Amino acid sequence: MQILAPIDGSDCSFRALRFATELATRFDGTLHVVHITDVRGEGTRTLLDRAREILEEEGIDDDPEVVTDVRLENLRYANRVGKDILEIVEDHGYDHVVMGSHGSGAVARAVLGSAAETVVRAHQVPVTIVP
Amino acid sequence: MRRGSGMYDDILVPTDGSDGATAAIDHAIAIARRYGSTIHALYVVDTRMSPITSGMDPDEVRSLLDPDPTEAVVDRAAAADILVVDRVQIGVPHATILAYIDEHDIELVVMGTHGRSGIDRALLGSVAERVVRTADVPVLTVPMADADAGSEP
Repeated sequence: MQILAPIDGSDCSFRALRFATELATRFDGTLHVVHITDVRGEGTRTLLDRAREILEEEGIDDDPEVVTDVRLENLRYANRVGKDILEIVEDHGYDHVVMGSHGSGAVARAVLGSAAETVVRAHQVPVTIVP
Repeated sequence: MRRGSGMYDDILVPTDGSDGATAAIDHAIAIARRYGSTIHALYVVDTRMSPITSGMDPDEVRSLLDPDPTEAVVDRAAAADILVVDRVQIGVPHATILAYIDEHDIELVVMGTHGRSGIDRALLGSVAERVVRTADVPVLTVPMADADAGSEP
């Protein structure tokens, strides 16, 4: 099982990450964590540190990756995150996506909520949505 | 096992009775095998789409259904030596599924997206989406292997 876990920094996405680490361990699979953003800053560092902590706790060896090649400056492009996830899945042949159902706060909720919806609706790959 | 069981003791597989859900069933079985889980196969007779009303006896209604709508899940799970509970309930599918999750302490839902064709497919697809949006447990959606899987909804 090759699992892709996109995280956005919300509590929900970290719950999804824990689910993904548990699944990867149980299935002896691989796990890759990505954070899709167009802003690399202090927030990105904090987010990746927390992700690394979770991976370490669970004994998973992965270096979370930041994917910045997106246009997220305008909410109208929010749906783009879902499409980026699908492209990564296709390019790298992941067979399972694990992600949070929504972000935190009104804007983030809309962003990841729509990303999750895009990935589920594409019917391209099994996806676990974690609340 | 790395941890004691308890994480995913009970996995719910809502089914629409179609053959297309095989991939979802197999995912549920693979997970159940790793975690020693029981699989709950649930078919909901949609009161909005049939003359059956919620006051009727589910067992009686079930005897009218041929083939048995949970058969595919039960057979595959039994063949894999997984404990399986099968239920037919009457109601509005997503609401009935959510109530079942609560009542039976379900920890993971596995369901196919797409089912059958045309209008049916659109309606069943929306059941999965509603469950994904509103369930308070993880929901694994598995694309069904029907002819036009991969097309846009």
